[in-house]
Amino acid sequence: MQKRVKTIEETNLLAMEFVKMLKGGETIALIGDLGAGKTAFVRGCLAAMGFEGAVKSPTFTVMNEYDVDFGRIQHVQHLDLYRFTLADEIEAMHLGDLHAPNAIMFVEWPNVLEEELIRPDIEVRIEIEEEGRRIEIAGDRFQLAG
Amino acid sequence: MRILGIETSCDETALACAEFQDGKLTTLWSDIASQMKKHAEFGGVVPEVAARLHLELLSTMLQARKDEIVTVDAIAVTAGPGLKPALRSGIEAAKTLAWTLQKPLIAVSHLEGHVYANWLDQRPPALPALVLLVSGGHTELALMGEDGSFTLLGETLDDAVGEAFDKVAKMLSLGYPGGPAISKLAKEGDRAAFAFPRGFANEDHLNFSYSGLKTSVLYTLRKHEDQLGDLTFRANIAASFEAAAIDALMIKTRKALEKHEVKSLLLGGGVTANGLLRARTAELADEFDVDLRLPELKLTGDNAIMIAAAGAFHLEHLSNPFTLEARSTWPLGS
Ligand SMILES: Nc1ncnc2c1ncn2[C@@H]1O[C@H](COP(=O)(O)OP(=O)(O)O)[C@@H](O)[C@H]1O
Ligand SMILES: [Mg+2]
Repeated sequence: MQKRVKTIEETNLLAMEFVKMLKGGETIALIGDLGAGKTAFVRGCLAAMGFEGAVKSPTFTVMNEYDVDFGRIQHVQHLDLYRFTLADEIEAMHLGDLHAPNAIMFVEWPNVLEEELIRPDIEVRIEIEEEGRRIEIAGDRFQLAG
Repeated sequence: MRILGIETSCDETALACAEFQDGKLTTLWSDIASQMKKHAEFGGVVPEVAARLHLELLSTMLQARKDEIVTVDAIAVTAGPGLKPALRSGIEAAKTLAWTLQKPLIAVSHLEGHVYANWLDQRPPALPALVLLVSGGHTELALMGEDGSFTLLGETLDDAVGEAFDKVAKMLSLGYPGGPAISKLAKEGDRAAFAFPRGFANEDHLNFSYSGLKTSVLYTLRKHEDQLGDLTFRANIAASFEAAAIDALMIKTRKALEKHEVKSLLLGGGVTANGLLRARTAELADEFDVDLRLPELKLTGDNAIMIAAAGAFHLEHLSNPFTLEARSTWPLGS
């Protein structure tokens, strides 16, 4: 599905709809330019899951982790691969070990490298438009109404 | 007493030794094996590769200082915040040294290290103090009480100021690290050419926001795509961005100085190398009649002497050389 969101508030509303569809265990790739609103979208998702603290950019920390209580979802990992340039560096992080049915993982810049390193269940593509953003959400086993 | 400092939390592998006597700290020696060159090829710091590099470099550096190391009285090591694999390289070395030399082990917060850099080789700053920490991963305002305790007053809610510099540099296809490249270009430009936003300028709280500034620069670049190759245009973008980024820091620092009566203003972190920030904080310190401490340029980046310095103030908080663990998050004051 695809939606135009003019404001960050509209992004947040979309994020609320989005998290309702999650079952737990999903890896969500976020694709879009610098400043597209990838981190902002994750912030909206975490707020929708009841997380009240600050959601900072993971560019420098590489990974930020959050605890939530949202149905089956108890943990949220937020990664940013922006600064990686070698496949074995990402492999050395053993991202698979973080996989759990009660956790979801957001990954910004999953395609910094040519190699496919992350097999996302859902892709969120954000395009910058003259006014606001166009957000496209796609996934094999994922249907979003509207 | 002599304190050994070990730092591997991010860019640098560093080893240093400070003498602590009568409340005064003196640098005995400070070694930094810059990973910058390797990372410039990578475009940044990456945890696993950094961990491997830290380990290799650290063993060479320890070897070179082995005669000095046996004379130290305590060992301070950065235990967080940072990338865990990188932190562990330093921590494991420190644990081994502490056990074999039978000397106390002190876990130091990297952020407190940046603050205590302002104690080295100078008259200790008067407390209470306002602390402004600015780097690629941090943008924090804190109060340091007379007893040395920290209270966080505000922090970035999205991107760090140094991160904004790096990302705008990337948008302008300048190299890494972005800070110096932006500042250099900014010198040729007009700071008032573009009105970029100052995050939370009108809000009463002391938090920062830099993602709006990043996006605003992006929109301006897209709008003037045809001018991307024009040097004046690029310089104007850099100058207006730098002005907005530093202004946002100054607005909140001023607010904090109005709210809290302090004797000193202490700065720390990589962004303190920025010339505009140094000039603007000097003006502010004058106006509020507080003692400004800016780290010497060689101490703005990560180093180990600041870790030894911070360790000197935590001699009563010793860590167990068998169980000390890395902390990926460690906010000031916790
Ligand atoms: N739908 C939207 N309309 C307008 N602005 C938006 C929208 N979504 C996000 N933004 C703004 O764009 C910026 C995106 O920044 P960020 O999320 O850090 O980008 P990224 O992580 O993709 O680099 C934020 O300032 C945010 O408020
Ligand atoms: Mg981001």
